[in-house]
Amino acid sequence: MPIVSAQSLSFSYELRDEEGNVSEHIDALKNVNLDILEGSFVTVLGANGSGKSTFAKQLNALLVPTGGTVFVDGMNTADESHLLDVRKTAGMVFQNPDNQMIASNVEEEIGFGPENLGVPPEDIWKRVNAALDAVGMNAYRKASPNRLSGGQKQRIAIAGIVAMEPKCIVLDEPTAMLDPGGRREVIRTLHALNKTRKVTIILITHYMEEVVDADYCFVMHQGELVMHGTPREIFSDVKTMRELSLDVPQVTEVAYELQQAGVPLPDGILTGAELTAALTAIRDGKDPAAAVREAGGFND
Amino acid sequence: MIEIKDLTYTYEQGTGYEAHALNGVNAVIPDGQFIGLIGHTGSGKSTLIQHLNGLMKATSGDILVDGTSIYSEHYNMRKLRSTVGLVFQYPEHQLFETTVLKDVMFGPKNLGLSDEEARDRARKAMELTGLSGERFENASPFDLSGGQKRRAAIAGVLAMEPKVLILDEPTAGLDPQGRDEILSLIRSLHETRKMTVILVSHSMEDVAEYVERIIVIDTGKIRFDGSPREVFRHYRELEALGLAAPQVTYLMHDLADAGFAVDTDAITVGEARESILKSLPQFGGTV
Repeated sequence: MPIVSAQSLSFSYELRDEEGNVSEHIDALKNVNLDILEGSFVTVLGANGSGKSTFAKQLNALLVPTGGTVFVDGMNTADESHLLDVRKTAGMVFQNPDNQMIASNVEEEIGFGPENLGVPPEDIWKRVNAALDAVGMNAYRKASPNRLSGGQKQRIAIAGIVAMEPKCIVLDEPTAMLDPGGRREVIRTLHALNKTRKVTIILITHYMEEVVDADYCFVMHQGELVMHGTPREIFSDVKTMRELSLDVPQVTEVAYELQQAGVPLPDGILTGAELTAALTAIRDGKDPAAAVREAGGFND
Repeated sequence: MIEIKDLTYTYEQGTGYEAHALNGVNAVIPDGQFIGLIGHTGSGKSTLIQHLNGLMKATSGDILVDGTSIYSEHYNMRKLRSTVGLVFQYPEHQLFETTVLKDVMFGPKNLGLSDEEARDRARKAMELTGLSGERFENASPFDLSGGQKRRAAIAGVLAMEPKVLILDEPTAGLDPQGRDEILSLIRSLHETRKMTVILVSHSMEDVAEYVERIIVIDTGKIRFDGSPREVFRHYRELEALGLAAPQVTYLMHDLADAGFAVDTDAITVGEARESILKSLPQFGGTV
């Protein structure tokens, strides 16, 4: 059973003018159908206004569909009796860590979630410890959140969710405000959670290089799901990505530009190691695609 | 020209929490330069830019704008704030008026200009940022898209006709197209209006593509100051400072290690393409 299943999901809302009359009807999501497998690491790409944040809010019932259905771990998000269980299953992390910090020290911050769930105190401490370990922030447990760096704050926000032991974490542009080091920390933490604790990660991002190591990728455009596939499949289509106001990782772009200049490179090169292997093969008169496979690429 | 001389800013001076946000910063910013200011969160870069338009006052050291210390007696701070325009992070959060035109006029009106002059300037600024026409003038700023809101906020600063434009992460949270629009706008302001631009950014790729000089700040001190090529040569040291080099830099080093005669100083996609083609005997000279 998929952890998330959207079936003919639509979401629309109305804008009203000062007199309360409907002035505009907005279809933020249009007939979205997708499944996300439990334990996978998926990314959602899309231009501003493509509906990806609206989609994210459907996953923990901050919004419920106006058409179609969303199931989270088999529960219909529109069924109010499941509200708490849906939110326990799918935790959310937002863009700005400062908006998510409420406590005066890190361990209280992380304990807030489980405490609200009614977890007994001794178990709360166990969960806080486990969550701090999971994000590598044990050394900062007594620190004040507002004295941490952006990347550290975001890891604490993630730990606060981890302590609620969700099966799935949805992150809406968690690295948009971070420096390169902070971005690395957060992405590494998410992959570790996914690998060691089998938490399903749903990452919404504008940074194409954060998508490269994901299992699967969804691309939204004007409320519709327009592309889905492995990162390699998605980034093989540089032209379409550009048409959707998106981008590809810089290495993929270099490979694409070289292809345009006549270098016989295969589509869908994602990493420097892959491009180096392919170019070495071309220089030495060998098969570039085979070289990329040998370098560990193209096996997904 | 802006001269920053031994600038130091100390928080909670004389207490146990005393900390130097800036610690002896020296730099000269000539007119018309396009500078990238990089550093990890908390490195002191936001503190530095707030000093440049007088929002914060140094604990010691000096800033000279066109030869005059901004800390000298009777210095016209109001004029400084119109000379050095500062666009904060997420500037669209500061939009507040009922129409875009009124919002953009707010700055020039605060400078004491008449309604008419302020309106002229606002219209010019809106044209520069691609928001011209009645459609935008009368629109509520809150009905604009994310990228448009940000351009409206930038127009508000441009309407004060600054000589120096400082932008604190102007592309944060924008999609790739929105990012390219803002950066091309900034480049054209620099090129056509000869504006001095200081771009604070966490995107090494953007900095590599657009600026002519990079200043790296860490623990309140300038660690590197030079052309993008020079600065990104220190990519290992930059990583230790919580920064990085553009992805292309890593690719070029991989290729050099594999025996390709490529330029490891290439920092943009265009430069990488050219250098790689030259290094492939079959494609040499096809550029």
